[in-house]
Amino acid sequence: MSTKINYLRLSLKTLMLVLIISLVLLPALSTSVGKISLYNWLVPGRERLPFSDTPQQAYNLSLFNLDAMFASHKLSGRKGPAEEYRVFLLGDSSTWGTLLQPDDTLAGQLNRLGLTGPDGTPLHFYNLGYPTLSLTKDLLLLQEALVYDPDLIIWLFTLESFPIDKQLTSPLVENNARAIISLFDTYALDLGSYGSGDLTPAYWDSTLFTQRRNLADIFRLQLYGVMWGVTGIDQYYPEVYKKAARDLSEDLSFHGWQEGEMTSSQLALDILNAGKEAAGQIPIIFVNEPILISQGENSDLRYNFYYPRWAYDQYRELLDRYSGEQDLIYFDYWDFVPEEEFTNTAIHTTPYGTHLFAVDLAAQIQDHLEP
Amino acid sequence: MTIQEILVLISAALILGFLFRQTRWTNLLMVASIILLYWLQPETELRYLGYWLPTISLMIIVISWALTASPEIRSQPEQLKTLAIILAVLLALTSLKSIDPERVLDFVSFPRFTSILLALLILSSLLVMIIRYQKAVSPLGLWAAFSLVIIIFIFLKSPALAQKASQAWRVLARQSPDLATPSELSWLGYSYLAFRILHTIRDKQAGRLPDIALNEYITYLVFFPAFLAGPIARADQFTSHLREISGSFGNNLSQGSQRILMGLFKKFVLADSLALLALNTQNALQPTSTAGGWVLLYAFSFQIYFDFSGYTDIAIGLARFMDIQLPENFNQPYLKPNLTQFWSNWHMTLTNWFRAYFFNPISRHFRKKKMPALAILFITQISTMVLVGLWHGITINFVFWGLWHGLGLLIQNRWSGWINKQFPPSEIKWIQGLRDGAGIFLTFNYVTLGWIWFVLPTPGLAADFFNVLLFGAGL
Repeated sequence: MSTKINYLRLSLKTLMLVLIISLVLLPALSTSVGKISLYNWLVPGRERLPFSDTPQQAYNLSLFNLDAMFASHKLSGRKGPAEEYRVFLLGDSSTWGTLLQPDDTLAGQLNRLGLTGPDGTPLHFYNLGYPTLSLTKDLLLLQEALVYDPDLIIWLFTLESFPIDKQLTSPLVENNARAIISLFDTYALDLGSYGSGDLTPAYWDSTLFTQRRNLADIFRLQLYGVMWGVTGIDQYYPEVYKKAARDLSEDLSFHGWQEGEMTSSQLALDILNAGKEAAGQIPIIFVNEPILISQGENSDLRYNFYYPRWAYDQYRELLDRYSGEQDLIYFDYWDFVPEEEFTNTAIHTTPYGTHLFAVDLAAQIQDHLEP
Repeated sequence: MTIQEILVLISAALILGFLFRQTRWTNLLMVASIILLYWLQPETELRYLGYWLPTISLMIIVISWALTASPEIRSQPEQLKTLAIILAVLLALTSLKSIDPERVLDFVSFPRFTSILLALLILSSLLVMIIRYQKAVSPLGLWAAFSLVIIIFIFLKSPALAQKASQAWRVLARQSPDLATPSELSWLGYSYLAFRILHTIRDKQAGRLPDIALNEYITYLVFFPAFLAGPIARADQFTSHLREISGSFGNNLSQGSQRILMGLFKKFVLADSLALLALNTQNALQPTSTAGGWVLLYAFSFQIYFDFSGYTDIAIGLARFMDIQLPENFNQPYLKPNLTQFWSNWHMTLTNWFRAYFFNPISRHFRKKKMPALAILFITQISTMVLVGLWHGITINFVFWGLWHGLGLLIQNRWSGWINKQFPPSEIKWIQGLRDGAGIFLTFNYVTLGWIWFVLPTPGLAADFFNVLLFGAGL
């Protein structure tokens, strides 16, 4: 018996199926698809949020689905009532730990110190740092992290995360427009001319066509999870890297501003307060992280590649004043790590430099926890 | 091959299949295959090599046809017409240099028109002379062609010789020879081309090769679905498919599509996903546990299968669109209960090639010499499998891979003989099922362990990885 195939009907049915999946089912599923994860049951959870520009060497990749990112973190594996005092560390690549093994990051070093709370509950530090410099990106991650019941949040930052024009440039921010708009609305944040209107999510953003990269990234993250489980590697460690510059340029401008032109309105200081507001009863410690203070050429003009001295000094003054006004718990570690303990940038520290920082920060944390 | 390249091939096959509903225009298929041969050839750092490699492929093909065709076939006027078509296609391709200077169409870069013209004139004059030559080609001519094809193959597959050849080309092209690397000499599809040509030469020598016209011969050798990754069809079977239309376009479309979809799924979903986990030089010593090492190894074992059999499915499906049936290359090889059956179902067309043109002739030779059966088996199994290994690359790791399989086949042959005598196959289903299951498990794992030699370039690294598998990390 031969069956005659009606190709027109077959094509129409296929087209209908593709459209239904792409335009209806997938947008419905896209809100939760990132939560489906192999991590924390088939493969171990990651020590830090997924990020990499060299996936094949790092067994890790940068993606923008916050659910998938958090689902891959070991934090998501912690179920039931916490038998630990949970401390979340937010920040940029220096907190995430560029060029550092998971155990050598700030969170890793703090965990190695074996700290306990006043009632003897062990303190467990979770690395929620994420590369790229933007306070808005940090606030986004803070908001997402709150569902994991932190007992304390430590938010580390540097001046480069503050300028208004930097706030929306992080790929994580650009690709989470809905969540960012919601944050801006909730905390009445104002970025001046760089407002949340620059982020325009559309219905089409959740269709199969536009989400294919997102879905592929989530799938690849699961596969790289197997490699993470097998090797314990989550970052590419080059044998040789270019050291952070010690000899600096004579340029005195910072983000186009000359000395005296930087004011508090050009920095997104109110995002810190939004973080405090978001955390509610959960205490937040704000930390100005260590920077490289160069002794090389033109170091009388600049501290390092990022900062002219005038800008950084003014930033510290503004921050100090703002934290006082807003009653923020704030520590300034800007010059705490010796020059030789920086690696490839003026904010990335060596394992030893990170250790020095961790030991002192641990003392501050314990002081804070004392009744 | 990228998905975009495969989509182009699918489009070409669909158009040709549609045109071939009533009559097959072999010249059209030949022209399409030649154009795609140039299009698929990757550009290399070696100046104009991307143009000359497919051109040399065509020259070798036409010369080998002239050597293997009978004088009657050679003297037919159609052959000159085919030759004229080839020259016209090459000249048309050359004109792309001026039509598409930005290389939007992604063809290789073409050298100066005068040098192309000169080369084509010399070649066509030579070929016209051969075609017009009324006598049969001497056995010496066939052996010379046979040797030339193998010598080129050795140069391409041996890193040291490829480096030398690359240096030589750089000198000719006025480029720095110091920057030469073996990988620059990337001759698209030569391995398969060589085996098909050797097959026609050996069949000609044995008097088994049917009369094949030039356009059929070229189409057989550069048939675009199978050019890159096989399967290696036999010339007689291929030309018989080429000469008749046996199925309807609708059926071909349906069957070909199913096969291509299956191939795309195997290659771009399964194999490419497994590639992220599969054993390679970078990750071989990174596992922190024995179990981790096995995960990498099993991932590679399945990756290579899905990758290769996926490409085969795509090739068979593309050919099917044009009503041509290519031979199967894989038949569930990992579900076979012994190594002999594995090799009868893995890359079947290559195995058959070696069986026909190496294993059987040397077995016959040794039997005539009254050599003991075990010695014949030892020599033929080992040498055949080492040659299969060397076909993948003339490096020490492929020799080890060949030895691994040669010894495995020998041991399995002796063991099967002994065990079947002691414990004949059971008629009780579950007992025989258990026995087959154990055989499948052992065979699969033996083959999988063999991949270590295949994928890791040095025996030292392979030995270290065996240590990881047995004792875990930290060695």
